[in-house]
Amino acid sequence: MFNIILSIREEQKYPTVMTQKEIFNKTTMYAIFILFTALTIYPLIWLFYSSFKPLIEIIKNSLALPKKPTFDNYIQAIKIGKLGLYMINSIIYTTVSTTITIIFSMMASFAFAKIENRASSFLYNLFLIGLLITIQAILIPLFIAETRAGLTDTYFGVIIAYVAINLPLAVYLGTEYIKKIPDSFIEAAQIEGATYWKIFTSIILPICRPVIVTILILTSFACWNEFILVFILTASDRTRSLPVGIYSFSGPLASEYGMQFAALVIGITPMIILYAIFHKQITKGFASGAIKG
Amino acid sequence: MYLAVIAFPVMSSVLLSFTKYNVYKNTAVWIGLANYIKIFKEPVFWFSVRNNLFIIFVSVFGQIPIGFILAYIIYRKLVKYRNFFQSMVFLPSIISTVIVGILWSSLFSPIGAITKIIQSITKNPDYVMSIMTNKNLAMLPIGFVLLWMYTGTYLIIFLANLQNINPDVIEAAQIDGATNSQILTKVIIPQLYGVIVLTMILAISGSLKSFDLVFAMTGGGPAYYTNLLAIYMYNYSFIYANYGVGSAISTVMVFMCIVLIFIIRVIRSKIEPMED
Repeated sequence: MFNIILSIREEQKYPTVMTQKEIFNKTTMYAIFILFTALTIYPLIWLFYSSFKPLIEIIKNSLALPKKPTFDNYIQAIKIGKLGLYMINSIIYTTVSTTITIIFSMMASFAFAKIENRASSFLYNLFLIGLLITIQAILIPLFIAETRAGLTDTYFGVIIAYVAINLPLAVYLGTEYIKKIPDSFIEAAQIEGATYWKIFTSIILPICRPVIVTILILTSFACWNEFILVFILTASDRTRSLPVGIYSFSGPLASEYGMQFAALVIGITPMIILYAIFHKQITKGFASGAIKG
Repeated sequence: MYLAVIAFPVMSSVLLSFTKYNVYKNTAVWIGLANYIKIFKEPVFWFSVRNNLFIIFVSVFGQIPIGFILAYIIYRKLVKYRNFFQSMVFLPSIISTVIVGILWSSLFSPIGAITKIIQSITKNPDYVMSIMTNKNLAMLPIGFVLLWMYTGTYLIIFLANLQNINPDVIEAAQIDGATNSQILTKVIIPQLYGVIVLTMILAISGSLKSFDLVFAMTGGGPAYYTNLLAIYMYNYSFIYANYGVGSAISTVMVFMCIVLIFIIRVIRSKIEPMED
């Protein structure tokens, strides 16, 4: 036994010459990753430089770099496609929905995790069921209900739907996280006469920072990229969001490739910048969200 | 609010599917199974079911295994520049599905880069990429884009869980003289059974509800050959304003999802006793 340990240690110290098979394996592995990288980057680069080409150049030679880069496509896309307005709407939907989701989910999580009674466990299970329910299953009744309540085509109508859809996962993550906080923290605070509200704001929230960041990432990406709900619940330019605005370029404007490409670049760029800055937190957030979802 | 937006609609959706609903008069007439019989008779419904099953197939047998292999390579530090490669594989999944759909449909279009690249490789300037308009092949590019977009998500999930495995277990196996492939199949994979089942459930429910990508890429065309259940439901409810039939389709989707997840649970309970 001891000999084997020694031999492993030595192997690590003096790496042996790679056999042909190992070299082959290594090459294959790099090839796989380089292929994936190329497949990710090339379409984006092609899209980016194509968006600076006039339509004729795109149709004639779509691989070539632009001869005379022009911003016309962007000006047109923003003017005809009203992308500026949609961008503002997307920002409103994302920030408001995410903020409300975080506040509600943390309050609910605290109650579910630390206040034990029948009602709270029943309500918690109700939220868990929500994790399995798809948007399609609620789309038609939601649309009918919002139509009858006069909420379609309003900011409020979209935001309540976004909050409700994102709450189950947020509540689940929050509750599981708060459950791990020792009860003694809360008891100690109670002895000193702190109210539930005080405990929540000055003990629970600071401890929960990591899970709040996760919820923030998951919810804001979900809201920013959401398409079908906002597509159905809104009818006018005033309330539509960026994905819906960009989708309109694939309809009657589909042959206006230059404009379409510019619109796609406008849609992709904010996400890529955010990803470049926060990629560690983003991947972590997605990992913990998906594991538990 | 949560009840009003999620729980109540699910119940009413099932109820609606048995009625003929008039949204303008707000009247619903009970017509029993007529909506279901109507959709089961339509070939488009069966195209949609077939295409949804194809997407499930791509997710479960494409995204999950490839994602796992990539995660394993990164976990075992078999390549350099791991952070860079990991970000690159994951990058597509943060882009809005609608944008991905439009981007790839222009890449596959006659003016797109893929057509031009094939033209220059084959030295045939008249080559026209027709895969998107070929009714039998149009699902293939969609499958490819699905792999492109979602493999990174599974890579991240598997990587996070691989890193949670206690390294002592693997070291112990190494000391006992296990080879790398033995460690993979006897130590690592069994520890990930739960995660694999979970990713399969995620993949199935995600595949059944997929809508945006195909809606933006092909809109269900040519001639409904890439239609999905969700697009089928959308057309009935929001184009023809036939909410009864639309609800019947969404009920079928929920039912399919429950059945498939149930099947996976059964398979899992069969596998786990064998482990002991």
